[in-house]
Amino acid sequence: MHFSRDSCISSVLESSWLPYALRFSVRGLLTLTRKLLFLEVPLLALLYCLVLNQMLLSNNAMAASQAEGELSLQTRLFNQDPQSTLQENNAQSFAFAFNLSGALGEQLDAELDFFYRYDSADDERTKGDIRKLYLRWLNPHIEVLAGFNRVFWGVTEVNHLVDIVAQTDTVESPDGETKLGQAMIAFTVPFENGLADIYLLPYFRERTFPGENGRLRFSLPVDYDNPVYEDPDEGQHIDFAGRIAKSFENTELALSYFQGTGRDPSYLFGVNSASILPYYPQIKQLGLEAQYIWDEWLFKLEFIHRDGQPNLFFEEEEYQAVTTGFEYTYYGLAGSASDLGIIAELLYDSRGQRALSPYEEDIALGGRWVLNNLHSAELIFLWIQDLNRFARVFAFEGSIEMGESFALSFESTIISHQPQPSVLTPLQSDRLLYDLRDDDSIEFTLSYYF
Amino acid sequence: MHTRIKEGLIFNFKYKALLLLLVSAHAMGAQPVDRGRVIFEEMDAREMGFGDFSTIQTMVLRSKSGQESRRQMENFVLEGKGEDGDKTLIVFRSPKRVRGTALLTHAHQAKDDDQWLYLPILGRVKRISGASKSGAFLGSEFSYEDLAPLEVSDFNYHFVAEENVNGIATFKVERVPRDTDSGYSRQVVWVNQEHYRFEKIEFYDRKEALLKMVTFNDYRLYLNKYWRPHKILMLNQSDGKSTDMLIESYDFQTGLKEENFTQASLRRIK
Repeated sequence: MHFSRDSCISSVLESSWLPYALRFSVRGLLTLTRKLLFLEVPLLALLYCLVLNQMLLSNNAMAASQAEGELSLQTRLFNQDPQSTLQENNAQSFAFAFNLSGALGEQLDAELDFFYRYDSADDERTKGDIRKLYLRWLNPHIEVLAGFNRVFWGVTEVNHLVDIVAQTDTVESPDGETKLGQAMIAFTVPFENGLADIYLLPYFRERTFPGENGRLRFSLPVDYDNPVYEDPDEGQHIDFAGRIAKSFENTELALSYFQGTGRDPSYLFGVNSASILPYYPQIKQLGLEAQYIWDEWLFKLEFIHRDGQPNLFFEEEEYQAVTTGFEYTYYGLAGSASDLGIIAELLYDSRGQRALSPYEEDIALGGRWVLNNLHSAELIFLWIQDLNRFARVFAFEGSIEMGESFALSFESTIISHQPQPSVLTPLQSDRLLYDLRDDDSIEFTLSYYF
Repeated sequence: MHTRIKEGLIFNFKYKALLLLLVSAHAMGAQPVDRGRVIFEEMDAREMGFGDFSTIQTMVLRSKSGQESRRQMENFVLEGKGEDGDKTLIVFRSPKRVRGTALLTHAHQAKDDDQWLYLPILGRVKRISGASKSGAFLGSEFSYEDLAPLEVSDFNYHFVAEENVNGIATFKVERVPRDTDSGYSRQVVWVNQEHYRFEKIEFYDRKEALLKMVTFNDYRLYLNKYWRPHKILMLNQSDGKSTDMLIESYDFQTGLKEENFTQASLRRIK
């Protein structure tokens, strides 16, 4: 069941007699409602909310319940004109995150984690998400979790090949570091220096994409509202994931398997002229994570073998991908209190130019400078260079804390001056990055934590 | 020989010096044991058997001009059994931006500790290097090695004198770290003669200059056996910055178990 954009929403929004402030909030509310509907499990979520609420309220002996959250204001600036006149040069947004957690008994706990963002430029970035809403039964021998949760797998820093359980929230963070809440029943069995996880994943979450007014998108927008599925059950297909992880003396190892609806979409070009349709295939993926520690060096490896995913030219192709590299931290830089961590990673995808990622044979170099001062100031720098072409990406991030409750951060991505794809020099450019060539940006975020 | 000294704090020391241990054990056979070492062995013996404890600690970081910043954390410590070192878990509570971030350490006797960091925003558990120790802890004047539970065998000792410090009878002992990764060339320690607890430590850097001084204050007795400081004041002599570590109280034997110090338990932290 898919909802196309509701025309009555826009008629409400455009009517001039509504005071501006009201329009503002109505717009946010309507978009939120629409986005929540896209969870495709509104009844389940509502039911869960009610049960959780009832339990939290009725349980006076609750050991440790806590409510906390974050309010943030963000401005995103682009210094070049967009490729499409629909896109805007800057965007203002605010975000609200709320977390409620507590024990419901000796062996039972629950957590709710809700997130909402309003974005002035991009309707698709205006959205709410239930990132966590679960009940969990804890026992020394097994842990059972039912509800929405976010799960992270992996050891490398630049990309996360193995990580597959929760869908990526691209509009929230273009680098893929933010995930959407995933409905699941999860079993965790701890054992000596390790743990095994099994996940049943009943409801699929579609990847978020910038809308036609948003930046950092393909030259045509991805039609988020009209995904195509390989499986007739579409988003209702029940997916399976499992992972076993163990710590050895200087080594961390994890082996994982996933079978079901692929979280990475392939793309259908040319079905209609105004947009690209996301296509979600049925895939099988085997994943390996390894990390070896030698003194202050961390050596890392992530490997996947995936079957069933159509490539950039929509041909089904079995492939392997590897990210490997190291991390080293230098403490007390030049006699100061500050620390400098450096990373270097090689990114490889056996599909080469047919890969769905721009990082098919790239090297990444990065640094994280932690000043260790009163404001916990830190700066991050990352350079990803294609080894075969001139394509590259630079990213800068920094943050400071202001007292107990405030933090200020910036994030800048420089993607410009990508070589143009040409028949004469087909190996010079990266098609995926070329579409982003005018989207250099810097964003500032002021956060208040409560 | 796997005895421990608690400085009433957290964190774990690391050492790579199995070889060093063997060498020194051989050397020790030839020399009389220094009185300084005997004092530290007695301190260590008095620490055995605490089981587990937890605290809530506040660090007040102060710049030379008096500007302040606070960090709050919860600590959980489980005493090691047999050959195992202690297990510690630190959960950061403030500044609020980093709340829920946690550090799990499994200390080891003759090799680097195992450490895992939990990053709640990503839900990521990251194994980190347990070898580093001269780094500053959260921007404070404490370095990781200052906060580590130490082993008697981590140092060579030299008894200096009996001395009165503010009317308290103490043993003054110089100790030299055996690990070449230590940020210090030596430390001068004043140990309370009656209760075998720290009163003061001076830290000398690799250039033999006095770098920092820490004093231990407001000791209280727990379980009729364990003395714990509630105010630990660290002053950097070279740049005038200071850090106060304030501990409200220690809760002993709260029933912490091995399963509270695993990767699975890290993921449950909120």
